[in-house]
Amino acid sequence: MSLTIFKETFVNSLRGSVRANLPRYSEDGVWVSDLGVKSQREMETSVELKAPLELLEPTNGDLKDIENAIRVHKALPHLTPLQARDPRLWTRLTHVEHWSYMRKRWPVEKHMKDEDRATRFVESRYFVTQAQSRALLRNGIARLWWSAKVSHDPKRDNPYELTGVLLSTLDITQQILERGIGRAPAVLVGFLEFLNCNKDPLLTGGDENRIRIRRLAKFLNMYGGVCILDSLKQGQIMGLLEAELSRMLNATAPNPSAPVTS
Amino acid sequence: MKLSQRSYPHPVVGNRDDVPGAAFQATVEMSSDRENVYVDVATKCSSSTINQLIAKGAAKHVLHVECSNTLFRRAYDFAEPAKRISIPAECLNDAVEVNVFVRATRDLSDYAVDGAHLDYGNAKFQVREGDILAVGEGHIFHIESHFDSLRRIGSIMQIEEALEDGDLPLRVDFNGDKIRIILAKADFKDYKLLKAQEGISAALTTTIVLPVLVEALHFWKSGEAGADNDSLRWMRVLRARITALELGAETDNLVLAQKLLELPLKRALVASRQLAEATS
Repeated sequence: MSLTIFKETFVNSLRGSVRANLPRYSEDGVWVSDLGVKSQREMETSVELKAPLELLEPTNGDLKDIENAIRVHKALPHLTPLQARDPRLWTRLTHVEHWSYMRKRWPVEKHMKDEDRATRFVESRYFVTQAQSRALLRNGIARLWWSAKVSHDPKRDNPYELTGVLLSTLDITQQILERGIGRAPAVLVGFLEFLNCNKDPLLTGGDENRIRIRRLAKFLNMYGGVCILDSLKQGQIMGLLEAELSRMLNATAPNPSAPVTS
Repeated sequence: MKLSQRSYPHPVVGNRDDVPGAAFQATVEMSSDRENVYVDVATKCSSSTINQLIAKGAAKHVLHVECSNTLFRRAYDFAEPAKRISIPAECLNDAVEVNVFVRATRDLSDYAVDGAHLDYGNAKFQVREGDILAVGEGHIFHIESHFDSLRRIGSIMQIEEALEDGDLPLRVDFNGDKIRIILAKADFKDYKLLKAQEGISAALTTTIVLPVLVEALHFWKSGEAGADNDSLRWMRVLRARITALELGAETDNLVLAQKLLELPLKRALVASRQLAEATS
């Protein structure tokens, strides 16, 4: 089965009408298919789905991001980067094929009190608003594909093992992907592998772990200011992070020789 | 990588007045065809320290390419002063940032640069592998793809399996709406396997499509299809393509076919070189 996408003029028109259409973004049924003439709205592509693209809807706080990222990537593993940055593709998927998922995962209701905020929310989650990667990582479906794409490692027993790490919390996803280091394959994989190997001090949740991950991402970003990180091997990236984590843990460890005050 | 003004922990040639006695220059040119973007970089460095380090393999040039639009970021090492890097066109779009550096390829103790600012005095530095030793001026290029990577494009050729067994030469049928290329069963099996392989499809185009297109142009122009030589779809598509590319004046069918296929030999050689480099 080949993918259908929106035409560019339709995407532009739809995006320009977000504010006017805000109430429709609270509707449960797909409404975009009622707009305009089909031939002016959509076009077929040469891209074939390799597996059925069905997404799991979030339930009781379980966002299902990891499972869904794997599903999107398995259905479209062959997309080229040029195809996968195309707003026509992702705008179509958020508004038609995965409208029901989008309504559960990215409901607009909680922003509706502030029309400007609601408009920005819809633009960022249902469209791809800019040419920069950040916009791709905000779109509700594109972010799933790209997260799986950059962390997929076919050499592993479970090729999506690091996708699980990347999407384990929204904070990790943002700290890594929204920085330049997220675009450098060896750096990204090294960082995720390091987190995976240090689950206890880093991945068990809580503010302390979150702060550590932020500091590690910041450290690597700063180190990249004087060193071409892309030239280093995964093991070297992990070595740098290991040394930095040790410094952090030592700095926060209680000093046994410190005087005890009553 | 956006390079902002910064101070390095050691003197870096080309960074502000770290090394007033030396310069590092890199000229970068970008060109493209349908398959690849080519980055031609030429470097010039007047620092004897840096040149010596490169000569003995302790440092290398790095071409750093980053495209936020496609989440592409790669560093390409090279020792020679000039280099052509080819990047698949499907990896780049819109603004592409290109920076050229010299980096250490191993840890260097007691590092000092000839011609460094007097403030550094006799200080020696510990440089680690990957550290930047020289930096050139950054460049931003804008890549605009001229084809729609998602649009369904109707091909004028279709490759089929022969009904007969055995080793057979490639045959062509020009009398349908598409040009039918018929391959021996074993060849067709190999073709199906190889056409999806990155780095091989360009060579297949040269081997299969180029000679067939030359034959097709000859067949079409010499009027073998009858007086109405636009009667078949592939002829109309070909005519539209020739008009769009303003190639109507080209009379040599071999040259015309190569231009229509956007220099397939060049693309095949580039792809083969990339494949050879990746496997070596």
